[in-house]
Amino acid sequence: MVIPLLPRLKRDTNIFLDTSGKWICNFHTTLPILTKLLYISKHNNWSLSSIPSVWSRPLSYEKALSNCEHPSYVRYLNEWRYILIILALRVVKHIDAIHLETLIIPSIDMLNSSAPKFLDVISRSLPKEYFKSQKDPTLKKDEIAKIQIIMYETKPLAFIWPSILICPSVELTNIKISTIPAVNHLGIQDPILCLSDEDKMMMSTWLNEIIYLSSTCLTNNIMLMKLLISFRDEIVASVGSKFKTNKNQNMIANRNQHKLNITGSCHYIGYPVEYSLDD
Amino acid sequence: MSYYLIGIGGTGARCMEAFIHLCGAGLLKDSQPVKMVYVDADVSCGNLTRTQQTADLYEKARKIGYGNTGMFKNPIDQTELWNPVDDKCKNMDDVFSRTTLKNKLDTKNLGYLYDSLFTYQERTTDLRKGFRGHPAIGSAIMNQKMNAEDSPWKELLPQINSDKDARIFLFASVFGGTGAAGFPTIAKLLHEFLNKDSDGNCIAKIGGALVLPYFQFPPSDEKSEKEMQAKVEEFMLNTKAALDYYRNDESLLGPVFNSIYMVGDNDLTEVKKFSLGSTDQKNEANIIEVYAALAAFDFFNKVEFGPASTPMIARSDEVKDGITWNDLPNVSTNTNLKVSLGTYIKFLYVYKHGILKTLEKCAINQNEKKHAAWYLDLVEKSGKINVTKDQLAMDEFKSLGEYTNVFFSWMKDIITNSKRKVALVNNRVCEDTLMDSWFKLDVYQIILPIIEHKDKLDGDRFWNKLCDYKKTHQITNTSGSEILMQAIYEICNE
Repeated sequence: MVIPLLPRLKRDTNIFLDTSGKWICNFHTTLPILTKLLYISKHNNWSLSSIPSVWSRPLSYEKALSNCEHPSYVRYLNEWRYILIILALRVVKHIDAIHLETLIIPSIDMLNSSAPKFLDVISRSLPKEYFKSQKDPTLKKDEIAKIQIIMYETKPLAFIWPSILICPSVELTNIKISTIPAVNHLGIQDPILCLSDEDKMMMSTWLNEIIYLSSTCLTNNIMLMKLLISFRDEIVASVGSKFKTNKNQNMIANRNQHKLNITGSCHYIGYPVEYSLDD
Repeated sequence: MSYYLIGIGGTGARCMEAFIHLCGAGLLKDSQPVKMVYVDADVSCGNLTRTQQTADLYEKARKIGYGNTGMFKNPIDQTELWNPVDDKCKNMDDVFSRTTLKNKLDTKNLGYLYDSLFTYQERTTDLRKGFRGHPAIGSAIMNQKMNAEDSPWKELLPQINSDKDARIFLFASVFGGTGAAGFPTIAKLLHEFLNKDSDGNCIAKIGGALVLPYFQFPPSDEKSEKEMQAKVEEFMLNTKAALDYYRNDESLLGPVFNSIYMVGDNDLTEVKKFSLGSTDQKNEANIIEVYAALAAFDFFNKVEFGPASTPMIARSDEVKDGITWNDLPNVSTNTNLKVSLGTYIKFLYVYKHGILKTLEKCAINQNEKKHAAWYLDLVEKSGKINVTKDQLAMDEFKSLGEYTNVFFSWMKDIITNSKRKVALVNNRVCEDTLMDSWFKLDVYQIILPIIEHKDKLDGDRFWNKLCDYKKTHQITNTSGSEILMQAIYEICNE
């Protein structure tokens, strides 16, 4: 019997090494196949610093949110939904300290030696996936990206990441928002549980609009559509038979009073729900 | 032509150590120099310093001539270590001047993004013990520091560009912090600055060994528990994340790498002691590092290169959970690994436990010489070296002795420090003996499996064969110590 000198692989997989003591290159000994076959225990912790890139955090969210078998799927999903709820309900929940900060990333050629080192690093290592999903007409010549950061007072809450709309910031649990009490000592809990039925109905309507706008602005992003639809469906299911469809479907479009000036593919998530269903 | 080896992080250094030991056996196809570059933030990492010391001892041992045996034929040139963390900086916040970013109006948003991406612990952990299993930190730090104008890259890159047949090989682990981050960062540097062909691929041949999980360590002690550290339970996830990232990076395999060899183990060897890094981090050598080193030899000895590939290797279950010579790859078409490496191990054993003892005795006491006919014959008469008078020559002989000590200490780790039963050599060759006398072990029993010989080749018989060497062998084109070394080698190779 021949046993690959590789870490533990998923059961019943064959990496197709048929002889021992020889370096073998064949159709099956490829990086994609090996990556797919590596065995990961569900009990393994997932570090947000596992990907060798300064952008490890958003890349990890992309990976985890696209795979419900991922060891950290639930944790990341809770955090991601929590931020969307804050964005949607910030007006009706009186979360007034939310604001937006914008960081322009110039092309690497435009950076001189006195530019901050961190700017240099993020400029040279923005992943190609980012450019695939971000289309921002406000970018000027020599600017390669605009990273918009959603702030709560002076603390970053999340930043815009087109493939998944937002990427939650680190140490979210240090930010306490009393009107959406999803944070406890274990981290962010399922934020749907801390919404009233009325909140849920508003959220569902907001998500309907986001789903519609995402399908037009972020074409081919099936993963995001699935995430948004399952979020909405879970909200609807949690209300049960009491759920009322809001006749005023257009809750967020064309209102500017409280909008965050988000630009590019995800601009529409800057519009919050501006009234409660009783209004 | 030169060979360039780049060892990234602690595992990278240990693979380099394995390479040095195997290089002594003459496994490279020619005698061109090997230039070694170390990449590590943990400059006092025990693994790194041990490898540097091994390379120093190898170079000292090379000063003796070995005739046409092929042993120690390649000079090893260690270049300056590349430390991605500036001496003045203790942690990430220092490297990226967080306070300045946050306090200046035009950079405060950059500061917010920075704070969004890295936790307080990641930002403030002392990086002088490495990146502690966090490749994202390693990548950020390495990307900011990597500059072709800095040493050793400013010397190395033009050298490679002027070398029409340069071969470069990188060693890195993918389950920790430094290796996983350094591998693509250095690959990008090579791609940017090395000469390219019309398809945009590097002209120099570049290979690498990605070492996948193969060891684990016990839980950290109470003192270290709160510090940021590499965690065994994250090894597989780090590996998957890194491989997935490399897979998506179309600029790696093909444009930069001709081959990326993959090796790891499904039964993780337990490292005896937990260490956060620094001098404490001196892990025992492991057979998987030998495989990684053999990958480098395979790559360096290649005559032709096919399409870009990711070679992998398997062992047989011939010995349950074991590794035998049949499980090791041959490193070139005209060398038999078992014969070359086996003879080298026998040579070093005989030298350490026999030859050197006699040379030392002769250096101190003239009267000893008359009992050692081979010494008079091969060293004084043919080699024209008088160890009593020639201190320099005696120092060189002693240097080889020092090298044999580190070699067998390493070999002991290889055959004992693994969950695998490494059935390559008799355990007894690694035992240190304080005995003054010549070895008793039958040299024919050094390499496993033991093949029955009608005669023994124990110390007494070896001595006699050495004394008779001039009568039975023709000495040509050799001088100085070469005659003795060649004689020992040939007897070991019989």
